[in-house]
Amino acid sequence: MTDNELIEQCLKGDQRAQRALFDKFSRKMMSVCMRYAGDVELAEDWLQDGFIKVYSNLGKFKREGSFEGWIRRTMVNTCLDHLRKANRMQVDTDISEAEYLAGDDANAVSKLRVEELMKLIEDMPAGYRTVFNMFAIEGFSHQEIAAELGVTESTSKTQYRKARTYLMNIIVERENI
Amino acid sequence: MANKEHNLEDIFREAFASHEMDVSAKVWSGIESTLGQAGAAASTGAAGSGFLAKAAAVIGFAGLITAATVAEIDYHSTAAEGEESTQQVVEDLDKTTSTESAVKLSEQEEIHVDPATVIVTRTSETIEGPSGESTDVNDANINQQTAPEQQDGGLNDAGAIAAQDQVQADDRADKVGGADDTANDSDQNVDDGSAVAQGSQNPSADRTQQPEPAVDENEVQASNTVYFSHNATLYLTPNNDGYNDRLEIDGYGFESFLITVWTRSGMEVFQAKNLEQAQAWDGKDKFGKPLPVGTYYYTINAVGTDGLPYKGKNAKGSIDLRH
Repeated sequence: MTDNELIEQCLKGDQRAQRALFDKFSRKMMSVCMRYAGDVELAEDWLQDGFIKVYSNLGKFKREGSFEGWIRRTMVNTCLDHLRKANRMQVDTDISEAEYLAGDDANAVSKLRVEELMKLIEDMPAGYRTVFNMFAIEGFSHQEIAAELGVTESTSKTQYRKARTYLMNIIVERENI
Repeated sequence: MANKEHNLEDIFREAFASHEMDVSAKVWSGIESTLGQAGAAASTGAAGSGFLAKAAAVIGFAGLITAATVAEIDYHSTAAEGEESTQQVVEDLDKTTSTESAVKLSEQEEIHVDPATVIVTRTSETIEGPSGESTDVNDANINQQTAPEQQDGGLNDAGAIAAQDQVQADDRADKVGGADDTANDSDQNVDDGSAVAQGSQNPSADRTQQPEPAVDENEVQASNTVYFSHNATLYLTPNNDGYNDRLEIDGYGFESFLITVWTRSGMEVFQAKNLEQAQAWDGKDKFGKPLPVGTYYYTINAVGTDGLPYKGKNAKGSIDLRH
C-alpha cells in the first residue's frame, strides 16, 4: 500500500489505515520527539499529540512532497509548541560559554552509535538542545530558528556555537577516558 | 576546520535520519480514544469500533505495552516462567526499585531501538551480576554456539531443535539482563509464553544446570550489524484487502537469515531462509493450506556480517493470525 493510498483511506476515516500509518511512522517520530523532549514520558505525550495533528491535518498535505518529511515537520512543530508552552524555549544565557578545551574531533563523533548520540542530546541543557536539533539535524537556517524561537539570528548562532562546543568537549573528554 | 564542522552535523543528521525508537502502547491508545471521540461525533459505523476493540485486544496480547509497570512485569514473568523463576524476577524487581538510578537506567534502556545495544548492555550486566545468574549466561553461550549450526542446517530437524533451544536460551538470557531488561519491553511477555510453549515439548535439562562462576565476555557477544524492523504488531489478516496480508519484516546487515514460525505447542509451520520468502508469507502452512486463526510464535536466526548471531528483542515474538 502506497502512502497515497494510506492517506486516502485515513481521510475516509478508516481506522485500520490510521493504525497502519501509525505503525509505519511512529517509531521514527518517537526518535524526533525524544530529541526535543529529552525524556521518554514527555516524548510519548508529544508523539501522541503530533499524530493527532497529523490525522486532523492530513487533508492539507500536498501530495507533491515527501509524506514522511511532512509528518516529521508536523512532529517538530508539535514539539516546538510544547516547548513554547512550557516556556522551555528560552535560550540559556546563564551557561557561560565553555572553552574550546578539546578541539574539534569529528573522528571521535563518527565512532559513536546513534544511541550514544541520542544520550548526548538528552543530556544537553534544554536551551542548547532545541537549537542544536533544529540547526544540525533538522537543517533549519538560523533565520528560521530565530523566527521560531523569537530570538535574534545572532542569538541563534551564538547559542548553536555554544551547544556545539559543549557537545564536542563531552565527546572528546569521553574518548580520552 | 570548516570541513570538520561539516562532519559533526552530517554525522548527527545521518544517524537520526532513519533512527527509530520503541513506542509504548499507551500512545496509540491515547490517539485511538481521541480519534474515537471524533469518530463518534461524526457517527462512524459500528464495524469500525469493533475493529478498534479487536486491535486493542491484539495490542494487549502482543504485550506491546513498553511502559509496563513493575507489577505487570512481575505478573507476566511469574505466570509464564513458573515458580522456579519467581525468585529471579523478585531479584530483578529489587534491582528495578532499589535505587533511583536503577530506575532511570531502565527507562533509558527502554528507549533503545538498536537491539545490539540492548544486548551489549545485557552483557555488561551479566558480567557484573551475582554469581547466581551465571546459569543464564551459560545458556546464552549455548545459544550462540547453536546459531551457526542452524545456518548450515537450514530446514532440517537439527536446525529446528536448535531454534527451539534458542527460544529458551534467549529467554533466559533475557532474564540475565535483570532490572533493565524486565522493564525493557513487554515483548518479554510474549517470549515467556513461547518459551513455555516450547518447553512443554522440549523440557530442557539445562534449566537445572549448576551455575558456572567464570564468564567469558566474548561468549555472549551479539551481532552489531544486524537490524530488523517489522510492524510492532505482527498480525496477519491474509484476506487480500491490502492490510497485513503478508508478513511485514525488513532488515539489513546480516549474511544469513532464517525465520521459523511455530504453533503454540511448538510445531513448526513455516520457515523461510531469506527475507523475500518471509515477506511473501501469507499465513499458510508448508502444504499451502491456510493455518487456523490464532497466535503463532516466530524465531529469527540471523548471523550478522560481523559473523555474530543476532540477538535483538525482535529475534522472537508472536504473530497473531486472523482472517
